[in-house]
Amino acid sequence: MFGYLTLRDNEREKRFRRAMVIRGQGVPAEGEPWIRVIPWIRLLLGIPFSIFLGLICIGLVPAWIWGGGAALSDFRLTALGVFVAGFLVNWVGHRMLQPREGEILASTPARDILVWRHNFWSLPRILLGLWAGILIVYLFRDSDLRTTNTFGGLLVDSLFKSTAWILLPLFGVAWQFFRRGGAGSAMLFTGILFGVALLLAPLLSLFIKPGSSLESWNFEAIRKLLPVSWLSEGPAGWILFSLGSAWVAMQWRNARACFRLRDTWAAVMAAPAISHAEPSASAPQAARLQATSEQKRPRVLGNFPDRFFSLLWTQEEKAVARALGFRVPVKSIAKPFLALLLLPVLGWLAEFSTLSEKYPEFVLPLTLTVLGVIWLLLLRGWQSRVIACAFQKFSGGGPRRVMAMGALPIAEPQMFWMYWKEFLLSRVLVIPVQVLVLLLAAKVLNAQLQAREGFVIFVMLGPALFLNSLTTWAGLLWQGIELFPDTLLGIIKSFATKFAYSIPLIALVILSFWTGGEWLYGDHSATGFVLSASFLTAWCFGACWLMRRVYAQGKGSLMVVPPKRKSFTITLK
Amino acid sequence: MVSLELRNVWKRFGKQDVLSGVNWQASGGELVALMGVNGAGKTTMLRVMSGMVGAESGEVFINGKHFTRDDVELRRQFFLLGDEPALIPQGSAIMNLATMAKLWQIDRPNLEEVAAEWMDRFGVLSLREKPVSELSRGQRYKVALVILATLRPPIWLMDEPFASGMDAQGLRTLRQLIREGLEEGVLVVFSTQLIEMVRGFAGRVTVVSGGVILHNGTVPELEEKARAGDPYLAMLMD
Repeated sequence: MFGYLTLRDNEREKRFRRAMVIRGQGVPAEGEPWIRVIPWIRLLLGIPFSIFLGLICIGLVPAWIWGGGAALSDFRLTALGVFVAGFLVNWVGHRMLQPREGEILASTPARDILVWRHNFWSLPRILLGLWAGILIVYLFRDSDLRTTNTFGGLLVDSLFKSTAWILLPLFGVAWQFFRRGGAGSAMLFTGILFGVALLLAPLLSLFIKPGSSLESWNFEAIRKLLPVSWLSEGPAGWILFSLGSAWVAMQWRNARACFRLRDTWAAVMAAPAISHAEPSASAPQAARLQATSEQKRPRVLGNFPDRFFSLLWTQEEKAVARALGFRVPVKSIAKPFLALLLLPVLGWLAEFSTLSEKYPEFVLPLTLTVLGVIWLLLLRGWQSRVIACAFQKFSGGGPRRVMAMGALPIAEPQMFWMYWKEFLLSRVLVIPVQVLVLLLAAKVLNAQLQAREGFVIFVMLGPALFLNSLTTWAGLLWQGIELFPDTLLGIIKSFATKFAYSIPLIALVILSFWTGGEWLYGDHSATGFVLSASFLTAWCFGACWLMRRVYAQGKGSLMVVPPKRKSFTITLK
Repeated sequence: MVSLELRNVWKRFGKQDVLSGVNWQASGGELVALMGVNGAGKTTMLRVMSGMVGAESGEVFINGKHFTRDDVELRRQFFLLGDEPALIPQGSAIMNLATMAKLWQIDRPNLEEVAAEWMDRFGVLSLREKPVSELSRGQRYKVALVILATLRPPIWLMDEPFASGMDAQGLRTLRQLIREGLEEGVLVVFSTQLIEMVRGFAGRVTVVSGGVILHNGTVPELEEKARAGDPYLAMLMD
């Protein structure tokens, strides 16, 4: 099915890929509608996906830790199916429908087959990796797996069941490309939602109490629609499964044959940017500009964002924000509210879920998972526009937007202050919800784990308040600056420096938590904690300061480092 | 009068010196053409002048003041027009103009009239409400030139303006704009590879090759040197 994997690269293809990589580092074409929708899709998909990921972590725990049984096996299987589906959805959305790729590809004299290979370059490997992962999980599914006599049979069984799980997502992707992108995003997402719903239904059935009104929905019955269930339906199910697999495989083959770059939805989206008719230039001068710059409503920052940014930035900073295409940090506003919405889920799990009766061992892990998701929602920084632009500018070259920024009268210290203002604003919105979640978490964990509330609060609050911004800033700075040439040695040096930054950082974080926990339990004095926390803070600040200094000495400013070679000769032929 | 000076500027990309101890200066009312083949260092020179890229060593002076890229006041003294104009892609020409006017802190009462006149002269008046990303390359360049003509900072730096994809009307208007600017005492520096764009137009030609300045004088002097047997200059004159 993936025979093109074996094709060897030729020079042209290498150059093509190289060009894609270089262009891929640029900023997406933000004016295009599809790009504007992507963050929302990410957000909408991201939350359930994060929850499922947490559930997978539970589901993937080997059977010898949590025991076996049909219910647990179903749960693990469902979690894996959701994971595979979610992964493919994400992959399709991000990788295949990017208009900038369409634009670049459409303007590249490349044969369609190269485009196909480029787009599908990693898919087979990813699928194979997932497949292997699924097999491993199956190997650990039941405690009796450790008996070698059933290994072969289980391997075959796992192989078929794995295929059954990825059949639906594979079909969705194939259908999209078979239609040459003509199915459009609505069709694609309808299909994806249907697929996810099929996978989600069995999961929901686990949580419904017997006799409740939700039970009449009979989620369990939906499971019968899944290809994995066909396998347990006897010979007819096997035949159906075989036919389904063959048909999907055929769709993939057809999709490859029918694929044409310029027919893809991505290329269609990019078309206006590729060719544009020259409009008439005969408009009379009498048609003066009617609106002044103040009266005109800009496309990027409308009235609401304008008012919003007025709270945050000065007039000059606002102009900079507008020039750089900043938007209101919607995520930092939305995340606290989403976190608040998830809190009832926590309560539902604890109080009304049938799990507490049927599978009491699930309650704590699930509670922790939901709590963790809420916390991650609050803790994870959103993509700071300021920081992104700052680092692009710091990189001192490359894609178009970097050059555009460099041509504008904007100072780096100004960017730094804008970042901090943006960061503080987000904290103001998030911290009240964080405190609420902390109190709840402390209560739950105190009841279930007999942990000290102070310890819980410390462990969760520490990274949120003190370390997140510093590590983000220093880490991004560290990664964003090209200190070394693009050679093998340079790459090795680059990795070495990143590890040299990250490993002590992680070690210090662990040390701080450990010593902090010891201190809170009253086992040790505060000296160790204070010392490790101080080192940690100093490390973050120091890294930040060092990188700015190195940058200033190198590419960033106009002087300081003398060249090694002072003399030169010119040879004219 | 405005002035721009490079003192012993070295710039290196990887192991290659792109600018090797360049000394150069110009003042208001001058039209200087930077000439050279691809990779000679013209664009890098313009970018170093504007602070877009830092040099390994050397200094840039604007109006006698030492210039660094964080000196916003001095950066407002010039406008750099790269091969891809620095515009906000999702904004219209008007929005771009308004934003740039704020960034450059230009607040003249007749700003709109001046902008409208230049939009009309460049033939982009009817496109003023369209997002820049929907315009062709030549149209984008024209919008950037309208902004330049409206803001009128004292130093104009242009990278290959005559190879910007503009039509004949645009090129003709660009020449008119430059002439008007020179009369007002603006310093205009542009890069080009074409001697046709320099003859009878630029007052001074700076020829760059391998990061060093081979010639810094008038066009007749350059022609004289080429006739004297300098192969590189002769190739440029061809």
